Amino acid sequence: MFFYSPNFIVFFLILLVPYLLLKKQRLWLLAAANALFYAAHPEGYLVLFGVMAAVTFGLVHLMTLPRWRWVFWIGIVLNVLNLAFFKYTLFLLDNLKLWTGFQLAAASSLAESIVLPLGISFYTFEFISYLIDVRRGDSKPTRSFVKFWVFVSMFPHLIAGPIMRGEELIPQLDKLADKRITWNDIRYGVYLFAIGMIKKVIIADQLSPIVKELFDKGSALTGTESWMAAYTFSFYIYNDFSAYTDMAIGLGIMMGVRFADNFKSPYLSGSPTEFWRRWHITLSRWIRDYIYIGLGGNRKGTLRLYFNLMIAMLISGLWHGAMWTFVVWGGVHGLLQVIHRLSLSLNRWRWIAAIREHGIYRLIAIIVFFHIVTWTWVFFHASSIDMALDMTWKMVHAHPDNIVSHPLFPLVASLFAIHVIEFLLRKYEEQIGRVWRHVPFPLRSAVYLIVTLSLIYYLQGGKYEFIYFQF
Amino acid sequence: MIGFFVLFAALEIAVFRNPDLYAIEYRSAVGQFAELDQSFRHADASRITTIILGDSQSKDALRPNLLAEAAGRDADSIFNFSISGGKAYDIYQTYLKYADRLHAVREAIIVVNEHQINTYNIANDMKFRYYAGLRDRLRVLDTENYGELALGWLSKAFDLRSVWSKMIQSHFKNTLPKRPVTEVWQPGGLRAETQNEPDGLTVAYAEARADGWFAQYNLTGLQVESLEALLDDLHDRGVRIVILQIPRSDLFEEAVIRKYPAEQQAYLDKIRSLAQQYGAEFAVMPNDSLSLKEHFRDANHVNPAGAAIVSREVARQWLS
Repeated sequence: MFFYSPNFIVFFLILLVPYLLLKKQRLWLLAAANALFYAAHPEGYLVLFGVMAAVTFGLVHLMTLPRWRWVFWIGIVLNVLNLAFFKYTLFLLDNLKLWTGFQLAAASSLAESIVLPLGISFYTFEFISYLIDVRRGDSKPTRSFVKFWVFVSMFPHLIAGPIMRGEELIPQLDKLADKRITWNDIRYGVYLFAIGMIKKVIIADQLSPIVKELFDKGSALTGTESWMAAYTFSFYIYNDFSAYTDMAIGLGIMMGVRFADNFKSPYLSGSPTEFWRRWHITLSRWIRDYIYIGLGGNRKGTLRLYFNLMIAMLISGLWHGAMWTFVVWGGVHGLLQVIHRLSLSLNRWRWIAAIREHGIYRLIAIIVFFHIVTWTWVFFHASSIDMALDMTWKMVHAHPDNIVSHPLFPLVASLFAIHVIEFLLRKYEEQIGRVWRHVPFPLRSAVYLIVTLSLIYYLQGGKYEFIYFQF
Repeated sequence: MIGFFVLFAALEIAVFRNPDLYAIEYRSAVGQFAELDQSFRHADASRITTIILGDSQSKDALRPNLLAEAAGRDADSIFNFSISGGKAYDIYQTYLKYADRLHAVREAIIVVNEHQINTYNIANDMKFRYYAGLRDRLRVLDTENYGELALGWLSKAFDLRSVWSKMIQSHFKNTLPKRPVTEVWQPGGLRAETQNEPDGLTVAYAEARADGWFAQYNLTGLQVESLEALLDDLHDRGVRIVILQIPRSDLFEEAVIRKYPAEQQAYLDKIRSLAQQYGAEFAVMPNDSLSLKEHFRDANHVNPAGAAIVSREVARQWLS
């Protein structure tokens, strides 16, 4: 039951009516709807999720008692082990065999039986952040399990984020029964949901077969094709994942809840640091607040800062999946961050700092960094490190003329233009909204109609899924 | 928003719920209804005494002109309502659409096969969606398809999107029919397919067809109930009912016997019991007089030469 599937749309419409009418029952309605939503997925292990929620909730309350603070560590270990078991057991077993030749007898049986529960990476991070926030005193533990359950399981963000913090969501849930959801909220929610649908159905789903066809070529890819594979995957993953977030935020607004932003036109970043402030923002801040700062951040000297950055990015890579390609991808981003930090020291020469302030430098930085990020996606999506290295080698040797004259290049350029348009649309949303309201209503209605029919046209059924569900 | 809903509703009524839209591609599962309608509109309903109800097998094999000639009757007295890919539900709904205007009908030949009464995957059948109202949708609703069926009931633009989106693609590929339905229709029902199916006379094709027919074979639910409702209606009207299984090639029969003997037996038992219940005659026509290469265009459809033989035999046995 994914957001843009007909089943979800009917599920949501059925939920929304009583949700809007029965204000006092909203929390219970959500609690039940979340459980139903999760259980409706074949990989939705509701019992496991419920048990982990109950245990974490119990431990959080226990650790607030004097002399019981240590149970915090039980909460952390339990959650990490739960994630590690489902996500990394096979990875560990495979590598144990690869590096030592030692094979555990149960390896094959485990291989067949372990299925990654849906959303486990996301909800585990939320449990951990809640444990840490309460321990640090950043968040007051809620006394209501229903509220806690709704916080971690709220269906719009349950299976692919945004990764929310207790302090962000629980205060909103406290006010839910009195929250007035206006017609404007519904309209804005529908608008964001529609933006998400367009990105998913009209862009990502149409790019998906192109990406597959290119990456399936494997070692037969030429340098130019490798660039095309990387470019198209860049836009595919962005449009797929950010579409999910847009829909999630739109659904949240329709239910009187504001989720955190997860994307801010990441391919318009001029540096790795900026990229991670624009890409999967809620994961980046989780890694920053609970790993990087936890390790000491920049407080323990320059070398330690670089080490912390590398560790944080490697964990970020590993979080995406139990494959060395993800680890390398994280590592490459860690290195890019280190290099960027090192390059900042050049700012001590004023003329360099001045150049960096210039608009043309910014433009060049965006173009260059977009290509660097595009290259890193090769490690993210390639079936093996060997394939990624092979593609990298070919990409380095590709001739720019061939890239520009490739039949897919106009598509890539258009996708980048759409990315810029989206940035402008978001940046000037209010102004555009004001102008839009002055457009004669028949014209506005006709535009809505064309968008709706376009979505229906592209919504051909079959598989409804998002790439980030696998993480 | 209100303007949008008004426009959408107008488009639903004027375009997506209008059969003329689908008539543009009259070869599609839904478009064929427009061609059938065209043919019926040109027929004199008061003269139709024999109707044929079935799927593409009977559409190809039982040609009204051949039947009439063999039975020594007026061709206008026979109308073939058979539709391509027809299943019991579609066949019954097609009959219901025209039943009120068929005052003179005295006999009905219902051509059946195993495929028609298999309820599996009914909700994804565009012909089902074309006809189905809320009641029928609720009857086949499950946890997998409730969204499709509910939204499809609200909006035909959504429900039949695979049909009209293919029409748009065909338009851009320039593969839509060149001649409109008003020029291609023929009297007595839909036109027969006459071209040989590529590889249609091979074992692999026959097996693939059989696999398709018997996929998750389910003889309960809406398809069988539709057949029963059809028999009930005709019986109540005092129409003489003949249920026929018309000849398929040995290639196909062998594939079915080899892979799905139990399912086929269950189907035969079901049809026999329904025939008995509604006073209908049931016959499985042998294929002795037909040869694979000369009389079939694929494993289970006859070609024009085969149609001549089958029509003659049907006329001789049941229309005289």
